[in-house]
Amino acid sequence: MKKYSFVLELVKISYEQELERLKRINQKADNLTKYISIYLVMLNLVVPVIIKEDIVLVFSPRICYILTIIPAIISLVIAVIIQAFDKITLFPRGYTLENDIIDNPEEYNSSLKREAKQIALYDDATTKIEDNNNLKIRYVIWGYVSYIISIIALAIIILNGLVSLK
Amino acid sequence: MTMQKKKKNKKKVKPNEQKNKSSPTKISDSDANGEEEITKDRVESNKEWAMKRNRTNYYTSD
Repeated sequence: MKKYSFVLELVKISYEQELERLKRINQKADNLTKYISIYLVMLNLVVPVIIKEDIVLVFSPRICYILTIIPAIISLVIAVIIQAFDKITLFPRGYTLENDIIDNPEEYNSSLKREAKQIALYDDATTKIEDNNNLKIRYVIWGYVSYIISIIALAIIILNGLVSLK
Repeated sequence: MTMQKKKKNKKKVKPNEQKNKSSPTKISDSDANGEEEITKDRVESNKEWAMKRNRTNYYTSD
């Protein structure tokens, strides 16, 4: 196998891997949205019960509600932002390259030069998708962190309420 | 005797090392037109070329 064909094959694999990574990150963001939606429904069922039963808590029910709902809403907003847009690099259109070949024929006169250009195009696209993925995964992590904070806050409030019932 | 053989082997390795050191900025490959080289400068210029030609778009996720 020629050296350049070897590199070209690998950059193609790298590009596919980055696209696959993007799909998985979007799946994680989708899962986060589902978890939070269910969680928010549960939260809004628990809070009226706490208020109705006059369960004595360390903080007032309103503060407890704020402590749990704010991280959950932050998480939901993050999940929506993650899923809203992707910054993706696409390969050039045919006529762009055709015009380029007409203008600079010496740049395309060997298979090596053409392969080198193909590699550069794949590399550029992969790098941009990778940057997009790295940014998205940071948002996903913060989304999950806020979600976990909200769950922990709710768990503490429920445990506190159960202790006070005894 | 064994020491002499080792010395001979060492001497055989050196020319290859020198060959690698002499062209560290090039990748040579054979083509239908014959042997050709891609230099680091060309890799860099291709990188800039690709950045100008590729299109960055925003699209909504599924």
